[in-house]
Amino acid sequence: MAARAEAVRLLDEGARRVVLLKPGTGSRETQPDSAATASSAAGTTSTAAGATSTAPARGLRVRALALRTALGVGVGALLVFVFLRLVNVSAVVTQLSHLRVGFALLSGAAFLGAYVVRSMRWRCLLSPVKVAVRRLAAIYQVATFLNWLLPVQAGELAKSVLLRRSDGVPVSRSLATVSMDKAMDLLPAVVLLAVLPFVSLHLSRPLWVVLLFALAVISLGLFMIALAAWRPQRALELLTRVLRRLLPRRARARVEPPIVTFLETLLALIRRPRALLAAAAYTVVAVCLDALFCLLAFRAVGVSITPQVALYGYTLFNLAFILPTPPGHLGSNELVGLLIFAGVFGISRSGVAAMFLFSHPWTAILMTTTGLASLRMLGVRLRSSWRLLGDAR
Amino acid sequence: MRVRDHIAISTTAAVISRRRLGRNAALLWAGGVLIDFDHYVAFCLQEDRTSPAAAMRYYDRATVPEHWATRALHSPVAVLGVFGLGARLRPLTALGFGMVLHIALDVAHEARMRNVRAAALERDRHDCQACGAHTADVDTHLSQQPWLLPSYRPENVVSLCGPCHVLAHAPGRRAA
Repeated sequence: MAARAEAVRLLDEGARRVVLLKPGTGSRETQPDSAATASSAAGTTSTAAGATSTAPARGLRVRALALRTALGVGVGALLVFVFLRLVNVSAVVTQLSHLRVGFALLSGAAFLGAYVVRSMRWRCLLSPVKVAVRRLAAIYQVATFLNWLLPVQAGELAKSVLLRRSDGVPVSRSLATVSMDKAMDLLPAVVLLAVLPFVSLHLSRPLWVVLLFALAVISLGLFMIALAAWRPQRALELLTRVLRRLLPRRARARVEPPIVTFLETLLALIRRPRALLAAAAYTVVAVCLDALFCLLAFRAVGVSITPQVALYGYTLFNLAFILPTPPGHLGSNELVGLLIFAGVFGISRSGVAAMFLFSHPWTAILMTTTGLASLRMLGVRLRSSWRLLGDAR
Repeated sequence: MRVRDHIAISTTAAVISRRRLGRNAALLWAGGVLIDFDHYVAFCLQEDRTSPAAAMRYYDRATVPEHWATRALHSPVAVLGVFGLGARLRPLTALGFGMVLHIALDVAHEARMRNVRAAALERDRHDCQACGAHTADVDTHLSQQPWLLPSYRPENVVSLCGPCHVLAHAPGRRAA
C-alpha cells in the first residue's frame, strides 16, 4: 500500500516535471531538481542571478574537465607505451591480419546484448516506476558511451538526468537505483571468487594467495552486510570506527561516503528480495553474454580459450573499471587485459594483445554508434547532454 | 524439427495470437525461432566457422555430437528463468511461451519420429536397405520429407547401416 502511494506520488511529481521540462522552455529544462524548485519559488530574478553565477562556474568546470582529459590522455599514452614494450608487435600484427569478420560481428552482438540485459535489470530495480525498455536501453547506452568517453564517471549521473528528462523520474529517486545497478555488477566477481576453489582452473601459487586474500576481504564484507541487515546502526558505527582508526582524516572523508552508500544500497536491495532475485537473474545473463563476447573476440583473432577462462577473465577485467581510466580507456584496456589473460591465465601475450587491439576499437565503434543513435532517439544532442550533466553536477 | 518448420509454425502462432498479444506477438515469434541460436553459437565454437549455411549442413548430418551448449536455451533452467523474469516484465512471458512452443514441437516431433523409426526398422527387419548388411549399427534415415512441415509416414524412412547412413547424408546423395 505504501509502495503504491509512493508510486502515485512519484508519478504525480513526474507529470508535473514533464510539464515543467517540456521542450522549448529554454534553459529551464537543464536544471536539476533542487535548482528547478528553487527557481520556481523565487521567480525570474533568482533565475537571472543564477544564470550569471553559473557562467564562470561552467567555464571552470570545462577547464577542469579539459585538464583531466589532457592528463588522462597522457597517462593513456604512457600505458600504451608500456603495453607495446610487453608484446611482440609483429606477431600481434600477423594475428590481426587474419581477423575473422564473422566472429567479430557475433562478438559485437553479444557485447550490445549484455547492455540491453543490464538496462532491463535497471528497469527491474526502478520499479514501481514503469519506464519503456526501449527508452531505458537507449539511456543505458548513452551512459555507457559517456563513461567510455570521459575521464570522469559521468555516465551514472547521465542515466538519472536523462531519465528525469524523458520520464520525469526525479534524480534523487533514480540515483539510488543506479548505485544498486552498479552494485549488482560487483556481485558476479564475488560469487565467482567464492566458487573459485571448486572450478578446474590452473592458477599459480602467488595468485592463489592473492585470491584467498580477496576472498577473506569479501567474507568480511558479507559479514558487514549481514550485520547491517540485522543491526544497521551498529554496523555503520563499527564501520566508521574502523575507518577512523585506519585512515587519515582527509582520506576518510573521501572513502567513507561511498562505502556507506554502497552498504545502504545493498541493504535496500535485501529489503526487496523479489527485485534482488530478478536483478540477479539478469546479471547472470549479462555476465554470460560478456563471457560469450570475450570468447568470440578471442576466436576472431584465432585464439581459442575455455569458457571458464572467458568467464573469470572478463569478469575480473570488468572489475578493473572501478579504478579511474584514461578517456576512451586508452591503454588501460590493453594493459589490464594483458595482466589478467596473459599474466593470470597464461594465454599467449600476442594473442591477448591482438584480441584487445581488435576489440577495443570495435567496441568503441559500437558504443559510439549506439550512443549517438540513442541520443538521437531520446531527442538530445551531444552538446546538450554535456550541459545537462554539468548542471546536474 | 527443421528451422523452416519452426519458422512456419511460430509465424502462424504469432499471427493467430496477434489480437490478444498485440506487439508482444513478435516476442512469441522470436522465442519460437531464435531459441535455436544456441545451436548456431555451439556450432561456431566447436567448428570454428560462422557460416549459417554450414551450420544448417552440420546439424543435418547422420550423427551430430551432443554438447550441453548446443541446447543451452532449450534447457528448463533457461525457460523457467524467462518466465520468472516475465513476472516483472510482462512481454518476456510471450518470449517464454514462444520457447515453450518450440520445445513442445521438438518433443512431439521426436516422439512421433521414434514410433515411425521403430516401425521402419521392423518393416526392414533391421537390414540395411542399401547394402543388405544386418549389423548392430543399422539405424533409420529420413529419406524424404515435404518441403514444409514434417510427414510421419513410414515410407519416408529407410533402414541403413552406419557407413551407408553417412554416405546418404553426403552432399548430392540425399536419397538412399
